[in-house]
Amino acid sequence: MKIIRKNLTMVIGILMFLGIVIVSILAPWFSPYDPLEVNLSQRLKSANAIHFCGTDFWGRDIFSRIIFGGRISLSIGIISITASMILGSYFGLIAGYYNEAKISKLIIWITDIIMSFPMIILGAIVAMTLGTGILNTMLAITIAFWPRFVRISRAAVLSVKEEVYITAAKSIGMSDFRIFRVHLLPNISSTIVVMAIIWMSDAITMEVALSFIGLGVSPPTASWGVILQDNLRYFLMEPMAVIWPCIAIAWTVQALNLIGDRFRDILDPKMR
Amino acid sequence: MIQKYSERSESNLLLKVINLKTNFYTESGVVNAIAGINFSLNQGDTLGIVGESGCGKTVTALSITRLIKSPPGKIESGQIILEGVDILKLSRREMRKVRGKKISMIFQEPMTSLNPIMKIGYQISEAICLHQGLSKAGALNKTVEMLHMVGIRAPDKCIFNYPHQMSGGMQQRVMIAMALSCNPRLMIADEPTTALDVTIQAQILNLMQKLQKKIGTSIILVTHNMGVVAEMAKNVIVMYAGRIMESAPVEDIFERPYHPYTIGLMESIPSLVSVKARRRLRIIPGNVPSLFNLPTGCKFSNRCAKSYSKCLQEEPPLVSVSPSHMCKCWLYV
Amino acid sequence: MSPYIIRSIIRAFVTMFIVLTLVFIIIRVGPVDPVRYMLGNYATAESYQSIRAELKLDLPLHTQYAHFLNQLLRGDLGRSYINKQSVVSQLLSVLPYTLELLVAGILIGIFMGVPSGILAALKPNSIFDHIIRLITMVGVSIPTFVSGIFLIWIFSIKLNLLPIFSVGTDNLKSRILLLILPAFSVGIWMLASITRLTRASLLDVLQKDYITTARSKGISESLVILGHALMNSLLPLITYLGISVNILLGSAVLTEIVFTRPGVGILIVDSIKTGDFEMVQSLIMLYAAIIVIVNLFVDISYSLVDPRIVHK
Repeated sequence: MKIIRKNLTMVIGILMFLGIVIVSILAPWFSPYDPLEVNLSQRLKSANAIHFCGTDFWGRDIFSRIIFGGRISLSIGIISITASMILGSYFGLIAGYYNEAKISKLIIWITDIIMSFPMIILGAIVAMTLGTGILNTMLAITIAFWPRFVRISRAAVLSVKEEVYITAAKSIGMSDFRIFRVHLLPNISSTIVVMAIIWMSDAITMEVALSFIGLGVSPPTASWGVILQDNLRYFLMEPMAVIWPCIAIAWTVQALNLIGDRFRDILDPKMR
Repeated sequence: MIQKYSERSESNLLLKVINLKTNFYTESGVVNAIAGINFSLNQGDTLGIVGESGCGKTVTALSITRLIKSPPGKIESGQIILEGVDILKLSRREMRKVRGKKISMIFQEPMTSLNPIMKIGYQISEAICLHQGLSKAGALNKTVEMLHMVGIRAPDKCIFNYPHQMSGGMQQRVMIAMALSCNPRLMIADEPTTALDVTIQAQILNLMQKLQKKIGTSIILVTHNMGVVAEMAKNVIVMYAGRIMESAPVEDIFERPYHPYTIGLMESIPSLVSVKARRRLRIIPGNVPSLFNLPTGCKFSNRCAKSYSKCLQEEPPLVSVSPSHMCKCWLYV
Repeated sequence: MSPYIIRSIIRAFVTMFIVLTLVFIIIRVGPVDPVRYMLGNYATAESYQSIRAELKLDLPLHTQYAHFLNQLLRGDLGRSYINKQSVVSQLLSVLPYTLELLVAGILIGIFMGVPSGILAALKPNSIFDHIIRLITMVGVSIPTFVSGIFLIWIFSIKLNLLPIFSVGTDNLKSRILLLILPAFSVGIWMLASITRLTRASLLDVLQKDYITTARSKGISESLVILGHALMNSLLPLITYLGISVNILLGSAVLTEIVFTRPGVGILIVDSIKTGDFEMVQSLIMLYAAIIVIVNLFVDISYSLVDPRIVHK
């Protein structure tokens, strides 16, 4: 009980996030309508008893679109971040452990260049060179966050690798790979996971932004970004059509930030 | 400006601390960092406060200057009478006039105690401008004088330096210059040489003694090093768990320590005699107790070889074992 | 000029050059053929070839590169294939709008963020502090376009206070009015993160030994905080500004779209959609240049503020 009181914000965040994830996973059971079903007689209606969030320009039920859209946006976010985390941490580990070697400098150089581009631009470059769609969007997001994971895992490795137990392990002839697995990874994993949670909200935001511009998920597949793009045209006519998906996005992003933020505070040794 | 040593007023008592109590209110409970201590200091003298980490000596130093962080710390009760005025009763504004001018402090880590992005000259002359009302130029001149007095070569160039450009010894000299710049009546030195190399330690201590004779300031020297105390202090108090266990003039304490803790401290110093005689170092068994978990009765009882049943039940009073030598132990009551 | 500054400038130039070259190569050698992308699925063989020749894409790569550098040195960034206007002229016509948005956002962030952070740090764990932490928590999380949409909804639609679209005349007053909401949309995030950063930094600095030393000299508390503590706590802020330019540029793009403002962001998005690669190439290089220059400024100003850096 006391633990919950102390970490109230994180608990709220976790509940919020679980809430939206469960609703998304169970979308087919929760949604009253097919998200793609067009119903021209019910255009741009505001929230009422049969359409909880109203309908969009094509008469599609917004509530259903939002919860189905959640499936897409959330899974893109989660999968991309996980892929980025695995790849980035691996490269960061190498860069940190073999810090003097040329490979480390090469990795750092590449990450610096990628990081100098705003995320939208990176996504745009991917869209331009490889096309749009769910997979490419995931790729764009993975590329965008890869350098960040490289950086933090490298920094974490650098600070751990000088510890005596690593030298001790080396002195008994432990192979590098085993050292990674047994000593380094467990120690840096908490730092990395915390950042993954925090960046997951940015990843979802990035997907929404890209789809919103038209460079991400392609319509008519509903992701939150696509819904925004569809409905923004009619913002003045029916603002709630845009506000409801925004609330869903803000809810998710806020939830993840609450979790990650508090998590980071807990892990920070400076906290008294 | 410079007080002659021979000129003493009727009562040459500078500082008198009466029943000082300081607590810290933490999440895990209340800590009695100082549980009622009394001592006094005469003008021109040096008082050594000795003890291990956590005994309350630094808290004592900070309490005298009222620099205790106010949550979570609080000076609960007592009186600190400086030249006849109880400074605990002063308003914050009045206290600020005392700090730097009547009482100044130097700290253990000179590197972190100096502002890294300000020039040395500015840091020292800041106090001078404030307390002595000199102009900027006048204050800088005085600063150069002070730096010269603490033995820094080329002081007129030094004032334009930043702290990180100097060695530890030089930084501590700068701190001393800063502390003495307004001719304080009392300088409190909290472990001033602990962070320095041994050879530099000796230089700094020498400097402090020399300046004390010249300016006539009194010193409270907080340390865990008995050797430093032997060198510098006139009177010594030994603290443990926020209480004074023994207090005496320095010769008396070294010649005939009464309290078992003091005896333990003396015996655990390696000396040439003990080395030559291949005697094992006598250590005090156990660890300093956490202030949340002090034993009942005498606070040293759980580590004392000479403790008996009364020690575990009741805390002993501080009694005189000879003129000007006090001890807090049932053995001598 | 100190050697540190000279080194920073050289580093900036080299990075710029590398990015330029990389962008150049990726567009021409990447998986998607720029011309095919532009023409779509209805291209005939002749139109494809003629456009390729026109854009000099069938020349060997190094020739194209030499040509490109040549053009660059003359200040010519090429021509948009779609509307035949020079990239530079299009850019210059929209750049002021993006710049004013960015500057306004940053100013809001700094001038509202730093004081809030200071106030929160001075009374840690008070009600005031908790409220600030809550507000910044929300402000930091909310994506820019979402905040933009909410702002429009509240202030333009519901309260009818501020305009969204141009009211015809392009005078100073309407320009300022049109700037307010987008600036806050970009600025909210900046404001929240600067508040947090200032608060944390100041709290950290106030624990340091040299603050105790300053107090022991009898200096007034306000001078201790504003003189000794503040300068030290602003150092991380400067670095942070450099890092956040990247994020701000991205936010600017989205804000411009949400508010249908002219600007570099819309320009780049439209160019990408239509496959106007000369435009895209130039705009990407422009983004990189801005970031490199800002980082350079940050490096230089940091070295001016923190004497320890220069003497390393």
